[in-house]
Amino acid sequence: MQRRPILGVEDVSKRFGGLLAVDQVSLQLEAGTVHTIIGPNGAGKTTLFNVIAGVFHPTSGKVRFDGSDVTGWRPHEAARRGVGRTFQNLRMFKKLSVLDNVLVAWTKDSRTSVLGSLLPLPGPKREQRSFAEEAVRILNIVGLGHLKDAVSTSLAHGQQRLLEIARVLALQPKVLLLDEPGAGLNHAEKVELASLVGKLRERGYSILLIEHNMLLVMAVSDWITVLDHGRLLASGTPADIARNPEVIRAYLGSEFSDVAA
Amino acid sequence: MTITPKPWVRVVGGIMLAGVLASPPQVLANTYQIHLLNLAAISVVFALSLNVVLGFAGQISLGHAAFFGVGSYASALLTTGGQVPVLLAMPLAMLITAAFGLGVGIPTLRIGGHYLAMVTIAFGQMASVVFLNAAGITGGYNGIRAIPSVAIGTLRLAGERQVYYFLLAVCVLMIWISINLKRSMLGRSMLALREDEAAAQALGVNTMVVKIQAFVLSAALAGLAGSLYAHWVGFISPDSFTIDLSIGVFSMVLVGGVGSVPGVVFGAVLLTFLPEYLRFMKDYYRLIYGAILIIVIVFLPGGIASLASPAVASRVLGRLGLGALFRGVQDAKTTHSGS
Repeated sequence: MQRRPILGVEDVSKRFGGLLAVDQVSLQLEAGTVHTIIGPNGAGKTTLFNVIAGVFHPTSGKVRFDGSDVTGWRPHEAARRGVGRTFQNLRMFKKLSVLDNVLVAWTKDSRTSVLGSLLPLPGPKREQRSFAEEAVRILNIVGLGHLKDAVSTSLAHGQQRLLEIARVLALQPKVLLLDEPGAGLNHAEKVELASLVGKLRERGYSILLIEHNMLLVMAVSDWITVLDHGRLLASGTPADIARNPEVIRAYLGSEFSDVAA
Repeated sequence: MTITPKPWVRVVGGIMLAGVLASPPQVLANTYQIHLLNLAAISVVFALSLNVVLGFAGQISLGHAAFFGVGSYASALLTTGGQVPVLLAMPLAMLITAAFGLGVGIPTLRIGGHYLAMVTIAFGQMASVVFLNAAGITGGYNGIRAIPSVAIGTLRLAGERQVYYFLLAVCVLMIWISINLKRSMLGRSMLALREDEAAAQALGVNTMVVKIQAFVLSAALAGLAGSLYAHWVGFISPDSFTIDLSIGVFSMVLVGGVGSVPGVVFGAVLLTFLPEYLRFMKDYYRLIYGAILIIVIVFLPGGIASLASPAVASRVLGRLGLGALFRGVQDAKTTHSGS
């Protein structure tokens, strides 16, 4: 099967004062695959995500998306052009309903002017209705359709993780950046998450994933990149990574032998 | 848990509310009471204008008296010097204030939280200085006198009783606009910005644009409140637009419930009447006023509006030792719905 890179990071470094958080990292996400970044805490995984998503300007290096150089784009531009990212710490719009949390993603498609927002005109109302129908459809994909009117923070932790994924799916992105979507989930929820990631891959999304849980990583990844102290330690298929002695020493260690056992 | 009333209940309730709101000029003999109601109507418009930027978009402004003042002066100057009809001067004053909102909004884009509070205070102080010292335009200390009252055609609404319905209508319009805005896509992106700016950006919201839109819209509406004020009192001077006014309107939003339209309306009416009812206490009324602010902030961070949520109401009343009262209300409700 012929793969084409949809997202590329070329020799990216990010320095914060004396700390080189990301050091000359390059990686490519092939369209329609799941590429997972693993590594110990402080390895620079989330910093790399922030560089890709436009939160940080890289100190050096380039970010390419869909064939063009997008280095230094702003976060809302990344979202609008097709890179949807979730956060390691849940970032719900706390006082808004589940449906409203998802509806925010349609801001980019709204044609309603400021003055039009002040009046209940038929155009804006129709627009909102069609957005809301789409939003419910997306909530159904992650299995939260029945909770659309609940306040987002009343959801269980695992459901909030799913809501975060629903919100970025609503952007209709080409690439998903999922930052530890399994954090804080129990075993059953992790299994469910793995199946959701698989389902999204089948739907054609390209997914860049940060995850610590090796069961999940091995189950869903087409390719794995290992970061350590900001540097690229190894890169390969899950089978390659599992056998790589350097990776086992630096990161997998006993945790992975437990999983294998 | 929300209670949706039956349609006929809403219709009857609406008619009764309209009746109550329409009656004061006929029923109240004391003109001073009408005067207070008119002041309350202007306060509601002003507080709802601040609610757009503070309540919806979550951006602190402690300089809103400046926008109110710009609207007042613009409208006063247009109608006294420029001979522009009052009803035309009002939208023009809003446009002028909106331009000021844009001017303040852009430099404040990159600052948030406490720094934004400081910058907006500074802006309010700068406006005060200009009102006072640009005597050639604003009349300095003497202010502007003989500002015409609102006229609809040849009908001039000169007295408190005459202007009451006009102010009430603008007030109702303002409430309606606020509710529409909150439910719109723009309103939702403002709320998202308030709740979590980084998450809003990650969902494609250009938060800089939304901040500017909130500031400009809020300024224009504050300008409307200022214009209403100028044509109502007929005389303005820099004393009317000091930091006291900015803090007063800020308190209305805070006490009523940041972001809640009914809450802010309630807060504005309450804090307009409160000083009057505490007048017998002379200067000590400020103590009571301050105590109320502290109590609300400590016990009701969501303002009085949060009492509409049964969970919050029971928690707060319980903490104040009034739990039995709340249970009584709940029991009454259950019995009622059971019958």
